[in-house]
Amino acid sequence: MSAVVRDMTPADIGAVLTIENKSFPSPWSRLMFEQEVYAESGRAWLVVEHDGVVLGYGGLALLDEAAHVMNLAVRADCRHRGLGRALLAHLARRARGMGARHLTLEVRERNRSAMALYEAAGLKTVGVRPGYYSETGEHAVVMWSDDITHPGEEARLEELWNRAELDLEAYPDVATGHSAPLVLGIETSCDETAAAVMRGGTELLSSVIASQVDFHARFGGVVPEIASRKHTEAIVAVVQEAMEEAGATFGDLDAIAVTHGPGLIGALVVGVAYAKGLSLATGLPLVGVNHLEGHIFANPFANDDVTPPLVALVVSGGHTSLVHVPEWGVYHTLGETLDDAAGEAFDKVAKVLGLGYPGGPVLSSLAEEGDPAAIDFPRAMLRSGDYAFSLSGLKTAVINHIRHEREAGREIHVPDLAASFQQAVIDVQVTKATRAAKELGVQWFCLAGGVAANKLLRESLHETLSAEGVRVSVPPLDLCTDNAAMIAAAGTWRFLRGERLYLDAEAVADLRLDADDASLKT
Amino acid sequence: MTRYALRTSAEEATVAAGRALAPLLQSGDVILLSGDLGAGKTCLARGIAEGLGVGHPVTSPTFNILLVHPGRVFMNHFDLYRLDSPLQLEDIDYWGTLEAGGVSVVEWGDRFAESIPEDRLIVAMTITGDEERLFDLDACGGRSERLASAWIEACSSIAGATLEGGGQP
Ligand SMILES: Nc1ncnc2c1ncn2[C@@H]1O[C@H](COP(=O)(O)OP(=O)(O)OP(=O)(O)O)[C@@H](O)[C@H]1O
Ligand SMILES: [Mg+2]
Repeated sequence: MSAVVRDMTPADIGAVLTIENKSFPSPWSRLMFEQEVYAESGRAWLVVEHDGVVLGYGGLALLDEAAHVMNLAVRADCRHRGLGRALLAHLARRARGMGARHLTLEVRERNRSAMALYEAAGLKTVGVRPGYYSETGEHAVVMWSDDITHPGEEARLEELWNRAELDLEAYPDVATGHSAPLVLGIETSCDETAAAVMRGGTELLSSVIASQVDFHARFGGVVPEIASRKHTEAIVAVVQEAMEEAGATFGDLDAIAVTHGPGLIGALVVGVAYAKGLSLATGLPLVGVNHLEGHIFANPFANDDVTPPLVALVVSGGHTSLVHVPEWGVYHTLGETLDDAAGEAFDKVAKVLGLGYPGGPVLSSLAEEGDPAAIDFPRAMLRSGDYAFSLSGLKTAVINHIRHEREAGREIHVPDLAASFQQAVIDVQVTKATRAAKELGVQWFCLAGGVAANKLLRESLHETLSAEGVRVSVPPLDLCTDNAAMIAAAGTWRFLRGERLYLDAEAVADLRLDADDASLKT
Repeated sequence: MTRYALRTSAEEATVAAGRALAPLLQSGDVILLSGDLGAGKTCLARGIAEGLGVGHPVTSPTFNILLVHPGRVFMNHFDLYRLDSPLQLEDIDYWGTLEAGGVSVVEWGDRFAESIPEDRLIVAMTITGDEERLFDLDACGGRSERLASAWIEACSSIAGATLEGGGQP
């Protein structure tokens, strides 16, 4: 497949900005590109694309008889292949069509390769604007072409285009897809302060979680629990640790991904503010990730062939959501808990049984020794016909059971109670998960979130869904609970899609998963 | 200080009591809910939210600590269960959020002496049967006392809710 040049559309701006940010010390903003692309007349903006990937772009504005080339850039790893010349030749063709007689532009005095390109296209230096680029104090070299409507000149530009195409044919592997960007992920949506570095969205170079490092020894600090202040204390060290472990510097990164919701606002803002600051200081593009989407993206770490359409069950201390994912980035929440989250129910029942808080994992291991049929706890919403969950009634049933047994002077058999409770939770989850997977006809089912570490839930889903011909994916154990690797993974995907957060972006405590795909489609 | 006691005989009566409280509330009001796991704090909060015109089911804020719901007046739904030190109140911007307005409903609201406002309305909920809950209202301060007595009056017409004894000034 060879490269093509076509008009730039608003959908290209994300990809264009990625190249822009890496090409120029003071890149254009999204708004500037939007104003150009949406301009009514007197503009021509083109992209050169290979296999759906934007490799370069350029644009001009017509002023009287001169077409001003306003911007032109080619992705760093695709330079010296004639793509810049191809773009320029096409722009010249457009300029001619718009009635221009000359091409003109300004170029940084130190940008020798750009000047060489323009000279090869027949532009000549006509003057200098001293100190034109204020950030560096560089002069601008003003270049001007001969009359492009002159037949000789026209032929020369055609030739330029032909050679460019030939050049590209000589390098058929120029852009076989996406490059493998290095992305830093940051997560502070609730209790954990975490950072991770990934290459290409698949290769995990580091994943640091504050509560899991010996912070006191290393940084003389405390482990963050709930608090935004604790996140603030930890974030710098956590990011530093992740960068060190990955053997990378900020200069090596291609993007920063951060959880911008949902979660506790005071915790979220710490990560978002830090990421924005880092983006501002380094010029790196910033990508926002929905925390629940992050959990789903923990699955490809265990199964690299997971692909939508799929159904995901995100079960954690704060969430119980069944989600249909027809394609990456598009989410339809099928149902959620109406009251307590599954992980919360585990932790609270553990507390009632005197196992401490949060005791969900302890409860699950005790359950292994108990009889799951000992007590017939209610299976709420099992036959509700929808995908909603309710766990508060089960919590209450356990509390009532304990009260009745005490009143009757009977001992409570904790393993039996734990096993019966767990079975009641899992029965409903598995039934609804299976029904959703069948109804939507998906090939894959992904479990995600802290409760995905529950052994019985994993096994039951495997058993039931496999029988239906649905493949089940569960994340690696250490990526079930909150972490930043999943944020880096989802962030890489969004980054490659051209998604960006801008500096006016804010953390959104109740960020919806479903709302996100609307913004993706712009 | 005023005390009232209210008994509900079903979950729906607790939700209805919450719904009856909502129209009496104004921005800045704080209701503290206390009582064991499963006492019905979230059920009562759900009723208040419904009455405030929140259009979606109110879920437990235990994990998230704070969930904000838009309504006629927005509702800050706090849950202090996971906090283990009053110092963390500052970390979650408890007072800042309360003072910034909206109606605030705080589960496990009497967990720390530091989380109780001066003018306070505490609803202490006890499990007295499978389907029965006893609410002890403890109101102290002008606003809270007026609120408690108006609420109790509004509850008199709720099926399944019975008032136990009168206010004791
Ligand atoms: N009269 C009643 N009023 C309220 N809830 C009742 C009543 N009778 C039974 N229940 C049941 O009690 C449970 C109350 O659960 P809820 O989650 O509201 O408690 P909570 O006090 O918020 O618990 P937590 O401390 O876990 O937050 C529900 O399952 C509800 O159905
Ligand atoms: Mg509750």
